[in-house]
Amino acid sequence: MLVTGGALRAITDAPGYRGQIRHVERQAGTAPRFARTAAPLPPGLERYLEASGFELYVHQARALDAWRAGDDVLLATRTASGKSLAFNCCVADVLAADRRATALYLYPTKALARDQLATLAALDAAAALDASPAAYDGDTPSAARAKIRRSSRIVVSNPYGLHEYLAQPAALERFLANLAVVVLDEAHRYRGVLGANVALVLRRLVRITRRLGARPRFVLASGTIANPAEHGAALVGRPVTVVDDDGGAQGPREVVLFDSTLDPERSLGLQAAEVTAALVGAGQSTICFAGSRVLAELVATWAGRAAPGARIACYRAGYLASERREIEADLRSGRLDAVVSTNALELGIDVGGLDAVVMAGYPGTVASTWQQIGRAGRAHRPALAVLVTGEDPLDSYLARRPEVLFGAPVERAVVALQNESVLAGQVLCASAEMAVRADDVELFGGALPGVLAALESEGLVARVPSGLGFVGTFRPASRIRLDGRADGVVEVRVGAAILEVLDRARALRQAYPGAILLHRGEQYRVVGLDLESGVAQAERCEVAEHTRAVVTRSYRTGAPEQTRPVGPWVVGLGPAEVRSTVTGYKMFRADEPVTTVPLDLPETVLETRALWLVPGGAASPPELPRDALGALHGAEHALIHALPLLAMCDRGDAGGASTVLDPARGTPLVLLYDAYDGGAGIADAAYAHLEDLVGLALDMLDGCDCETGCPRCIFDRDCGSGNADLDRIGALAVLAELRAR
Amino acid sequence: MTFAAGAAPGVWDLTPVLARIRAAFAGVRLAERYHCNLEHVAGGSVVVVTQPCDVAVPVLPGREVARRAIESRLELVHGVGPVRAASLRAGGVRVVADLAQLPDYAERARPICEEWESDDLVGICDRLKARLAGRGHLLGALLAGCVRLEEIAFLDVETLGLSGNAIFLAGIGRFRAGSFVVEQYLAPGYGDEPAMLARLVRELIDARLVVTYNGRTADIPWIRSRCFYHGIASPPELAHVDLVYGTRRHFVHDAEMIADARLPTVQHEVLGLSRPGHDVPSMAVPELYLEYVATANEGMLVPVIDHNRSDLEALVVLLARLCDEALAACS
Repeated sequence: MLVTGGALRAITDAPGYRGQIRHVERQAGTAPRFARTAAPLPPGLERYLEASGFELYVHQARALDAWRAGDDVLLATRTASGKSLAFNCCVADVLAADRRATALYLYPTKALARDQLATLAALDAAAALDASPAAYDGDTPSAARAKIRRSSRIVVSNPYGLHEYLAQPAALERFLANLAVVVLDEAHRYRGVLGANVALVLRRLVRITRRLGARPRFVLASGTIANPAEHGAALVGRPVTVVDDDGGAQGPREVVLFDSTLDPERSLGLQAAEVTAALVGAGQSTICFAGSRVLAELVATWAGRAAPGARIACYRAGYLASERREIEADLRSGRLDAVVSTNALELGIDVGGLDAVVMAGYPGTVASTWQQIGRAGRAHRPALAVLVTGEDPLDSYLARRPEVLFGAPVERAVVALQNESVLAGQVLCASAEMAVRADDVELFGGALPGVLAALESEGLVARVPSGLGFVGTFRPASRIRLDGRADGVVEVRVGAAILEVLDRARALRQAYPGAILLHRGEQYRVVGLDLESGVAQAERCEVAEHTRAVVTRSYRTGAPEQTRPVGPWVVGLGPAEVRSTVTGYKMFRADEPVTTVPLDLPETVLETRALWLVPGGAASPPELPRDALGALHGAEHALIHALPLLAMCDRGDAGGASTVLDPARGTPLVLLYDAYDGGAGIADAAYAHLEDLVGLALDMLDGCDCETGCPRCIFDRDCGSGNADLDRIGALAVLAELRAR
Repeated sequence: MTFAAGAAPGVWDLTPVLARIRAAFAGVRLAERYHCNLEHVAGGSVVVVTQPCDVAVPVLPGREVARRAIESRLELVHGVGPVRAASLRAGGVRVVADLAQLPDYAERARPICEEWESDDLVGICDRLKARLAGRGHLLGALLAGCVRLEEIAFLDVETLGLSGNAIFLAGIGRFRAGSFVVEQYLAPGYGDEPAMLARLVRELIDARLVVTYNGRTADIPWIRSRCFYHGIASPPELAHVDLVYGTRRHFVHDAEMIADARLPTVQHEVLGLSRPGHDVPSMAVPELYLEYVATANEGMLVPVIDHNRSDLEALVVLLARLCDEALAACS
């Protein structure tokens, strides 16, 4: 292995190093490519660019050209490639031409929105826009709101806030009637049910502005994803022009894949701490990302122990922009040696500050991984990023197949626009803003009439002269959560710190009282679960036991909406109902069952969308191996594990079931379903791209060196049968047949 | 899909209230109990209930008394704070008009005098709010002395609960030929809300001052928001006195006579008024209307109509009382 930098040598020279580095990807830097816009920019904007020393990169110039041609635009370029400057220029272009025009910026968090205000104020002053940029969100004092509504032309907010503010359109009339631009940054974050809700909030916004005579256009920015055009169109409801020819400069860097499972003695967190300590020892300013606050605190402690005398801080969500800037400045100036952070610092920190990034575990999506990698890199010095992978199918897959990370993007951002309960909720919100009319079908889609009929029969909307109006006594927007977690969520807490946030169904499976919860290699015992308040209290422990929920689960598929043959199987797509109850848990010591504890927990019923595989299609039926159940069960797990790479979802966003004898059909069946009421769009994406999904699943199983199956390939921590009856080789055969067409 | 969850935890159980009203008023026809007219406005129907009320004509200060009292607050002039005002007063400056004679203040004081001369009540109203905050609202009651009694519209609306939801009844109290008459506009169905609003807007056209209780944050923007919703013309911009601020400032904070500024508390403990025997808590009002629409049992609306009238009657008495307190505070 060729080791170029002293930084990398610091890792391999550390006394605890056991050869865990599997791959080093070296990326030469790229020079910037500049371009001019097709037509000259307004003088104020030119002044701003000149004064700030900005020359437009190719993608910035092309985005402006498309924007000025009247398109809706989506910029899909790397982190820190100057997307903000591009959309700010689009805004300034419009606001300079029309002195009444207004612009709305939507960021995923209030903190990110507020980070932009200084930049926007500078732009406003330099380009003489007279736009009074202001943040309008839950933190805006009510005294300031009236003035913003009256006079600001640039407002930064978030989709959750907009969802509420649209309920009083009369109050926002001046702003909405002149709305010319909507900026949606971090668009790839709006996926699944959240994506569908955000898409429909934007439809509500468009509907109101149209009535007021405005025709706002959209400019979106996203990380690199496989389907930017499709995603942009799903969010804004009409085609977008994708600009992805990235002209930004990129310094040289090395990305290291560090497989913590090659040292089975020590946990992933401990190894990430040691890597961090080694880098600090070599004088590298380092940021280490950990998946949760609890893990971040542990890694910070361990890194401090491994590097005595080093100044290592722990960072989590809730810090102000100024505090973040201070931490970053402290890192750069050497007052701090390292920061261990949750993904709160993934976004919004000033770029180009640090020498090295360590990731304690795969962040969950390739896009997020690149966002974190992008936090390192100073001018003229190679940056180093270390991804410490753990004992998990996705982590292991990336360790074995670095090209997934470094090749063309494979992840598709999917939006659950098929979800009718999301639509119903959003239409109800819309009906409280302006009566809903038949011609709104253009914005809300073909399912609108059915949804309206259902709402009318529930007595929630009634005929008024202008259409169907809301006649309830509550406020619809306050009943609809954009993340779709209608039942609320359960926070697993250690002391007051949050370890994980689980939806209710997952909490029942993983955080039942008595559960030994494994989080990134550390053990926690759940001492109480209160579904009412949504808190599972846990404490850290180090025990030889582990526990497993005993789950009874049943499913029912509805009439398939679509089917097609895939090899000797037929895949169907449609509605499904999944019922599950945790009836107790088993405790094991050294993999031997010690005891079974009964639990009295409520049943969960999921009305969702699913994809299922049943024999059919080809002339001859599928050839199932002797252990047919193990093969189908293994194939089910492999497909579920591949879903995040295909559909950019979280592990818990989808579930599955498999059987050799489906009671309704009398045949074998494999089922994949969305773990959200009404569906999250994952099963739909899996149906549309089943060949890709099967390819990924095959690849994930194929490379593992175990015999029948292990935690690195087909074991699943959510498995209802405790990973019993799994056959990796048989699963490979099933998947291979699915691939043969 | 279900969005209409039951009552949130901690909210009153309204079942016994509704049962009591059903028992008392089942089958009662509004036309038998009240003087009612069915009017057709803007493509919809409005039931207009007219109720003469037994409210004494309030004794309000005359225009000059009111103006002098308001203008005695030199802090109305931009840049004059309490300390400066005290020293000016010590120097013999009594009212804003005196300041307009002083070279240093003329430029800032003159617009205020002009507002009075041009009878710009909206401007005076805004200035009181902007310059004097809570105390400005107490003084604001005196504006009632600057218009003819017949030009004051006392206003209160009944709604489906939360801000922005439908309005189904609007009550306006006016003095006509020396007696207080309440007119209430009721939407007989959900689809009649725009007609009801249009009728309300028409009634406000010849008013010069609106008096409400909590109307600044509730009734007025709510009416505008519902007019916007239905795409009909909003009421004209009128001078508006919201008595809740003056009440809170004077009776809750300064005089500490009452613990809260809810209207029933004020009626009972400050004004010594009683409410109708079949009065219902405000939160029952939406439920009564929903039941009326669902069952066509008009009796369910009796408590709402009487509740609304009672509030309007209280406004008249409260306005006179606040004028007295404001004059006392200025002397």
